Amino acid sequence: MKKFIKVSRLAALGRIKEECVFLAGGTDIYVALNDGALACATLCDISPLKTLDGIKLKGKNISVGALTTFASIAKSAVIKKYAACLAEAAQEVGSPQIRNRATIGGNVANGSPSGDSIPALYVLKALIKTNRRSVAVEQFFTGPKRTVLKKNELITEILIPRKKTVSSFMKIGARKALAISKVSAAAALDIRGGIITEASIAFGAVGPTVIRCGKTGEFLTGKKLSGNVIAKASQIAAGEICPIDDCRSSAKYRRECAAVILTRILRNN
Amino acid sequence: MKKSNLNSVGKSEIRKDAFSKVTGRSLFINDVKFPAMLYAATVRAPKPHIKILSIDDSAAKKLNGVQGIYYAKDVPGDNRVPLVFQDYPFLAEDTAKFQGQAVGLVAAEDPETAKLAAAMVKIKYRELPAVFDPLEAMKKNSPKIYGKDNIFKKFTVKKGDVKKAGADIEIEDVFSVNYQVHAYLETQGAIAVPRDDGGMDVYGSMQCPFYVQDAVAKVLGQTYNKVTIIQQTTGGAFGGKEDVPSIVCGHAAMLARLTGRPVKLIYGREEDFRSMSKRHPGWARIKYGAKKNGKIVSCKVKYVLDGGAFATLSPIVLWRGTVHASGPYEIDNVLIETYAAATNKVPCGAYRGFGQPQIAFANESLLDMLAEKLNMNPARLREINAIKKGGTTATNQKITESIGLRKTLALAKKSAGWSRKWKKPSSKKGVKKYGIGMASSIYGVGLGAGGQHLAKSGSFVQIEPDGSVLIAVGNTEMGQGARTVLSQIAAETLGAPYELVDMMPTDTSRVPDSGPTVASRTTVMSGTSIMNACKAIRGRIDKVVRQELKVKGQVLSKNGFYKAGNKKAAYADIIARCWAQRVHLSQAGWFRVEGTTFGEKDGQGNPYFVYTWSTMIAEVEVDTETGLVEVLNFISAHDIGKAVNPQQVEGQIQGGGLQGIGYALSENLVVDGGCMRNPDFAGYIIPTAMDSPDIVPIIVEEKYPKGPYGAKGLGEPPLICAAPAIANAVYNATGKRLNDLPLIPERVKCA
Amino acid sequence: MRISFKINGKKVSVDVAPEARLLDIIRDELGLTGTKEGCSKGECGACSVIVDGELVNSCLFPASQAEGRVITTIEGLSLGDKIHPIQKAFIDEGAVQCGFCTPGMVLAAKVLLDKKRNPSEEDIKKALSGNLCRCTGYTKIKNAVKKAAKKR
Repeated sequence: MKKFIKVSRLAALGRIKEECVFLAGGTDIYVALNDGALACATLCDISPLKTLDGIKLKGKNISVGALTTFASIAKSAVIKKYAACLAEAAQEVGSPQIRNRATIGGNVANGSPSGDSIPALYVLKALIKTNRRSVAVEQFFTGPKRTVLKKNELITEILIPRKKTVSSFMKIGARKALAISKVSAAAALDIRGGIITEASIAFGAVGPTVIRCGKTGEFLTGKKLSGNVIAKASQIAAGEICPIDDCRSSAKYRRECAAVILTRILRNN
Repeated sequence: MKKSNLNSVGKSEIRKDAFSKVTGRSLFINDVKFPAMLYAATVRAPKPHIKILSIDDSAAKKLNGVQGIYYAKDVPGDNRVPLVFQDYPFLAEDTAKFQGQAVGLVAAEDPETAKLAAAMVKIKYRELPAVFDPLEAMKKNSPKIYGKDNIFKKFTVKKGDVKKAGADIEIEDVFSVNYQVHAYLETQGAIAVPRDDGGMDVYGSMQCPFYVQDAVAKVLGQTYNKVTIIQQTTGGAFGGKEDVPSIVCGHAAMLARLTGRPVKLIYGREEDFRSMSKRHPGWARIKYGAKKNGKIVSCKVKYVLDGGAFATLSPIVLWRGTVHASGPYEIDNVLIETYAAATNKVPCGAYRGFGQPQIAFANESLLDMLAEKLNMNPARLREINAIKKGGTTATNQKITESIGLRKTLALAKKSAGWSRKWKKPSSKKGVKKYGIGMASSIYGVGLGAGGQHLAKSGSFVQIEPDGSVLIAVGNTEMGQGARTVLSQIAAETLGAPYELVDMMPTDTSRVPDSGPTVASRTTVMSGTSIMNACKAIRGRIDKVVRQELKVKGQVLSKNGFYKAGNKKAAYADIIARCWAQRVHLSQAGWFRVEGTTFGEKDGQGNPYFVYTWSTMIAEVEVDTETGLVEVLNFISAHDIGKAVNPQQVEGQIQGGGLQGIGYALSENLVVDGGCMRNPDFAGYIIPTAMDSPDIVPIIVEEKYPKGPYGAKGLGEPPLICAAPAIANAVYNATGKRLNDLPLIPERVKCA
Repeated sequence: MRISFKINGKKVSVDVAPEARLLDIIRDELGLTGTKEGCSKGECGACSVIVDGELVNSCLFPASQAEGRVITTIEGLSLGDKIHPIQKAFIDEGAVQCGFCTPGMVLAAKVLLDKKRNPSEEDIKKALSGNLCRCTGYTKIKNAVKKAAKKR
C-alpha cells in the first residue's frame, strides 16, 4: 500500500486525485493486502460514511446502504419479508466474524463470480446506486471481478423493489461454514392465483459473472409450479450456465447441482 | 463398577496446561521476542525441478533494513539435515527438487521487509525433467531424481505362500489416497539466540527437541553441549512437527550465527502448506482370498507411497504401513511388497497413523467388498477373522496378551445398533440415503523394530522440600496431554498428590533424551521410565514411612497419605522427614525396549512389543443428488490397555476421529504439475464445528502387563481406520464403491 | 495516526499506521499475545476478538476503524486466578488440547452466551463455525459451552 486516506463525507470523494481502492469492512481488501496485491494502491477508508449504513424503506423500494453488513442484512425483518433470498444468502456468507464486518457494497464491488449476494440481487432486480449514477445489477458486472465502476466511483446504496415476491437462495459449498460457493442459485417468483406471473432465476459461480437465466424465467412465466414444470425449468437452466473446472469443483458437478438446487428452491415455494 | 484403588491414574485429572492456555497466557513461539531480534524470510524454488544458474539479490539487499541474504555456501557446518538418509539439504545447492524448496534466507529488521526482500530475489534457472507420479517415477525411463531407480526404500513381508492358499473366492482392487495436510493452527516457527559462549539456544514449535539438536549442531558445526533446544508451547503438530522443525530451527540458527543477533522465523500459512511435510499420497493393489465360510486364507498387497523430493521419513513410514497392511486379521498366507518413490513434490513425512491410514483405506474397503461377495455381514467377516489371543499377525508374531480387538468390535456394534441398522445397499430408497459402515485396525505401539535404535527413554524425577515433584523428560506436550498423563503416572507411583506434580519444559540442556514424541510411544516409554525412577524413590520413602509408623510390610498410598497396617502418615510430613534425614529423593529413570525383530528378506518377526486395537463405525446420510455426505454418528472404540486420563483419551479419540473424517470426505490438496493449487484454509477444507458429528469414544482396557498401569499407546489409532469406516458407510448407503480418497461430493454424486 | 480505544476495560492510545491490522496493534503495540495469528486471511478465527459486542477477525480489521471502540481480548476475561465461567467450563470439560484456537473459541462462546441464555446445539455450532480447531473434534468445546450456559 502506498497511501492511506480516510473520508468523512461523501462529497470529499470528488476531490481525491489518486485512484482509490475503497476500504469498508476489510474482509476482501485485507486478504489482498496480505497477499501483496495492493502494494501500489491508495486505500480510502469509507467506514465513517455512516449514512451509507442501514436498511430503510424508500418509497416503493428498500434501500440497503452499501456499508450494511451481512449480519445486519441476515437479521433484518424488512429484508426477510421482502427480499428473503438476500437474507438467506447473507446468512451463509463466510462465518460469524466475516458477516459482522463484510458489507454488501464490498461484496458487489469485488464482483466475484461466486459472491453470494449477487444472484440474490439479480433476481430481486436490484438497482446499484453509486455517487454518480444508477446501474441495474444485470449491467453492473462485466467479467470475473470486473464491474462498470469507474475511477473513484463508489457504491452508495442498493435499491430493491418492494414487491410481493417469493424468493429463495441456496448454495453448495465444500462444507457448512467458511465455504466459497461451488454453485449458488437464487429464484424470485411473483405468483398470482397459483400462476407465476414473473420469474427470475440467477446462478453464481457458474460463469464469469452471475448468470441470469432468461430462458428459464420465460419458461416459468404463465405456468403453475408442478413437478414437471420444475424439472423442465431446471433442465433449461442447466443449459444456460457455463461452469468451469477449477481446483474447487468440476463443470459437470456444477451443472448437475445447479439443476438440483434450483429444483429444491422451486419446490420449497 | 469396581472401585479403583488408584489415586490419580484412571482419573480425568484437569490438564496441567489448561489454565494458562484458556487465559491466553501460554507463550507460543510467535509470542516471544528478544532484544535486538531480527526477522527471517525464506527464498524458495519457483518450479518443481530446476538447475539454479545464478541468483540476483542486489535489489533485495539494498532494501532498508535487510541485514543479509544467505545461501547454501554460507552454511557454517554441514548442509545436510541429519535424518535417516540425510539427503535433504538445509538450503538448495545447485538444484532444487520441489517447488517451494528453501534456496536462501533473508534476515531483516522487521518481518515485512524480510518478506519483501525474499520476494525480490531473482533466481535464474533452467527447468529439468520432472516426475510427479510415484508409479511413473518407478518406471525405467522416468527422470531420475533419487539414486538409480527413484526408490527410497522397499520392503517385503512374506508369510506362508499366497499361491498355495487354497482360496475359494478371491477379490482384488486398486485404491488411491491423496495428501493429508496437518493444518495445525499454529504454523512452524523458531527463534535462535546466539550465546556469549559461542553456543546457540533455539526456541521453537516442535515435537522432537533432540532431533532439532542434531540438526542445529550439524548446520552450525557446533558441539552438542553448546546447543540448547527449548520446546515452546506448541500449537498442534500431529507428526507435522516431527522432523521439519529441524529445517526451520536450522535456518534460524544459521542466521543467528551469521548475524550475531537473535533471529525469529515464523512461517506464513501458505508457505507452511507449500514447503512442510504432509501425509504421503498412496496407491495400493490388494487382494484377499477366502474360503466360502469367510475364513481369509491369503492377502497380497502392493503398496506405493509418494515420497516427494527427499527421503526424510519415507523409509520409516513405509515400514509401518508394510507391517500393518493386511489388517488386524489372522491370515496364514501373506505377501506384502511396498515401495516409497521419489517425485518432484514436497517431501512427505509423519502424520498421525504414519503410513497406516492409506493402506487401511484399501484393506478395510476391500474387506467389505469381500463380505459382499461372500454375501456376509461385514461385521461377521471381521469377527471370523479378527486375531485372537494366541493368533498371529502378518509377520507371524504371536499375540499372547492385551488383545481387545473383539471387544472393540462388540462394543462398537452395540453402541451403533449395528445388527438392527445394517441393511444391504439395494434396499435403500430416496434421494437422501442412510448408510452404516465399519472398519478395524491394529496398531503397533512405539517405534518398533524399524526404530530400534531410538527405542529408549531417559527421565529424571525429583521431589522438592515442600513435596512438589518435578519431572524432566525428553518427550513433549503438543496438546495430546503428555504433560498431564506423565504427571499422573509419577504421582501414582510416588504416592504424591497429582496437584503437586508437574513436568518441566522440554529443554535439551535440562532433560534427558527420551526419544522422539511420535509413534504413540510417550505414555509407555516415558511412563515406564518415569515409573522406574519413581519406584526407586518410593522404595526409599517407604523405608522412612515404616520407621515413622513403626510398622513392617507394604506401604500403600491413598489420597495424600502413606498407609501401612492400620496407621497412616501425611505425604508432606514424610517428605519433610526424608529431607531431614538426607534421603535421596531424586532419581534418573531409563527404559529400553528389547526383543523387537523384523526379517530383512521376509519381514517375519515381532516388530512391536504391544498393539492397540480399534474398531470404528460411521453412520452417514448421503444426499445422492449433490454427493454431500453428512456424518450422523461416529463410534470409535479402542483397546488402549489402560486409560490413564479418560477425559484426555476421549479428546484424542474425538480429535483424531474428526481428522480421519476430514481425510475421508473433504481434505483435497490439489497438486498438478508439482504446483499446489489450494494452499490455504479456503481451498483445503477441514471440518468446522458445523461439519462435525459428536464422536462417541469407547475405551476398552485389556491391560498390557508391562505398560505403566497397563497402558499402551493411543495418539494415532483414532485416525487410522476412520476413512474406510466412512467409505464403507457411503457404499452401504449408495451401492457405489469409491476407491479414491477423498470422497468429495463430485465423486459421490450418483443421482 | 493516533487512535484511542478501550481494551479490556482500559483506555489506551497508540500511534500506528492507519492500515495496520488490529491484530498487530493488540499483539505488538499492546503486548497482548493471547490473540493468535493462524492464517492472516480470516479463514481460521484464531485472531478473533470482540469489538463493540461483536466477534471479528482482528487480522482483517484496520487500525483506522478502531477509534472509540470497546474491545475485548482473551486477557480481558481473567484477572490473576479469577477466570470467566466459560474458561472454567473449558478447563473442566477437557475442551483444551494444544490451546492455539482456545482464545478465539472462548470469545466466540462469550459472544453467543452474552446474547442467548439457552443456546441450542445448532446455535452453538453456528457461533463457533468461524473458529477452526484441529485437535479436539469440537465435541468437548460444545460441551463446555453448554455447561457454561447452564451455570449462568
